Amino acid sequence: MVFSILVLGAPFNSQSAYSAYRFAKAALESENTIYRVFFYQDGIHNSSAIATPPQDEFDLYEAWQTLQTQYSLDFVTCIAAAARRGLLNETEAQRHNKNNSNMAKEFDLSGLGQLIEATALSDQVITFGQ
Amino acid sequence: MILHTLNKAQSHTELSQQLTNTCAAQDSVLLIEDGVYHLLDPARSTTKNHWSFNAKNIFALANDASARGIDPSDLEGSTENIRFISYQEFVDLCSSHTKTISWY
Amino acid sequence: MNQPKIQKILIVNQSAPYSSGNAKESLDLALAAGTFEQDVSILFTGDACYQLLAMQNPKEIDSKKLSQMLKVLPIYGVENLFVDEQSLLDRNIKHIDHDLKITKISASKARELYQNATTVFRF
Repeated sequence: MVFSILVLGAPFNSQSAYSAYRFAKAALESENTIYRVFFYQDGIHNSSAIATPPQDEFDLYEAWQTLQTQYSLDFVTCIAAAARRGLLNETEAQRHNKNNSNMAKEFDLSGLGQLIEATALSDQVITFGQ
Repeated sequence: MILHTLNKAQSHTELSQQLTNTCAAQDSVLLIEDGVYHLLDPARSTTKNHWSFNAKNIFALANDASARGIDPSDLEGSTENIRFISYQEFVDLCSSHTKTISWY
Repeated sequence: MNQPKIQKILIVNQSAPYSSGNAKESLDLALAAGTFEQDVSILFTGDACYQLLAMQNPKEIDSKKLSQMLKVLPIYGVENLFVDEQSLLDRNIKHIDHDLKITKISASKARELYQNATTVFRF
């Protein structure tokens, strides 16, 4: 099966992002394909490069980054949803004259067209919402 | 055959009602996150107009149930059509249904 | 790699406007789906019925008028707009914005929308 995953929740605020991660991992370990993971609404927070959970707590940010690297996954964060919530990569930070960027390199910023494309090219889109 | 996932407890009455309105006889319901608390709800399987009556099969994510201290022996009412499953089986469930609708 | 399927996308709105980003971000997705020429239907149910009230004045809370954006959906090819009749009744909503081309449907017709869709998004 070819899945795409839609993540709508931020780490810690709800369990949805964690559930999405565990689903993605299980799917990949059983040789399914993940076409794209799309981060929208509060889900954009999963792409933070600087969020720092306490040392004795599960680091979902690091887990996503490791998963992306291990399986060469296509992680897309919605550019509009991210900007309004304060997640910017270097390009966007420069474009908007902000001092810093804070987005992990494992994530690409793009538009909702990528979610629509993923819907067209996947067998199923699984949503994890809060 | 639709797979419905539900991640909220029974106090989210409007959500449960929407699922009840949508769930057809051949559909399955997978309880995840706080949705596993429905397993303790006495209304489940005794209330006619409830998704648990309509759904062909009810599944619960074992990790979420165990994390929350819900043991299969705690279950209220009939447990014939309830299965505790792994994340791997969650993936397989999606594959065996025509689509997955998430209720949150 | 899959061939693109003919998608029937159902976007289900159930949130009131302004108090959360759900109404706006649902609309953004609907516009994107229309732009990419998908077969999109939108169902308003539950508290999303409040999005359809006429005479909204969101400038009072520095917000954008959502109903204006709902009205441009047909320009993007999104014309299948439905509202759940029972949700309107439950909320005692007698009049919705008459400039919106939206069809009231029964619970069983709503169920059909869910059954016929290939992908369902909920906001």
